[in-house]
Amino acid sequence: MGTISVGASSSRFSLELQKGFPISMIRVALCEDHLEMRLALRLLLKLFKDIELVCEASNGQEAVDCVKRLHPDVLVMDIRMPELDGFAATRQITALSSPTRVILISGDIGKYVAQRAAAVGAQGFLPKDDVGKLLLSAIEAVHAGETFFVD
Amino acid sequence: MTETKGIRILIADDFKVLRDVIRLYLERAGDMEVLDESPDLYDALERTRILQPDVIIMNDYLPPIDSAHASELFRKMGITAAILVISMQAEADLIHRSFRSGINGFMHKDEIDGWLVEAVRKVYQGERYMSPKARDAYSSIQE
Repeated sequence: MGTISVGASSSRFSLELQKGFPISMIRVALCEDHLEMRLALRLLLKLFKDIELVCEASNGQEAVDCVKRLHPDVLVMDIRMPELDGFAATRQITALSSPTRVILISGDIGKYVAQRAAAVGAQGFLPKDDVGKLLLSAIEAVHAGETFFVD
Repeated sequence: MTETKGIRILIADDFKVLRDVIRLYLERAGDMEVLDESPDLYDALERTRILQPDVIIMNDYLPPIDSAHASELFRKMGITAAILVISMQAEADLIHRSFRSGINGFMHKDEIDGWLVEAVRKVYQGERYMSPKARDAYSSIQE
């Protein structure tokens, strides 16, 4: 257990002894219009030492701007939002050929929502009620190049 | 070795995601146990009666009433558990009314990562707790 820094100039990188291979901090962006949900997500991410929150957005347009500007590893984004919703924003991010991986979350659930999330180019989908238990796993999975869909 | 008895806690908030997050913060503290969660007033009263928690973490609005009215009701029913109110607003009037109704602590929800665990320990020990934001809001009406 525990982490150690590797190399003088690479403090961003740590070696997780338990797993035995080097991992870096995962840079995460949040996009959520509901203030209390965004706070809950921020508090949740703060619990994980390997995650760095790089930006917070409150609509899809801000999220697209954040992806263009900061290239986060993972964007966690609500679907229902004003201005530009999560599906439309994901389409734009996919069209950018951005390396940023997208996890959509929603109070709306079911196979249809998860399928639509996949269709617009997201690598993950989580119902909001599962966020507390599954968001970290989802972030790690999409960061590792896998997909993570819960319907 | 000192024997530590875990602080037994009920989380009463209508927002499930936040209840989950609060549970994670409390469980990693090591000296606390989350007994159960409640989404509204009547459920919270019932679970409190059955489980007898040491501390109730209560949203500033526990459907259908606010934390001042809720804690007044809890106290009238003879419930002695410490009540820590958490709020998105930290509004002076509600802080004032809630303390008058018998709560033991008040904090803003965006202070959870820095202060929740300490707040729970303080109210459990019988102390009155106000987070930095609650204190700021409250002192603004004293002046």
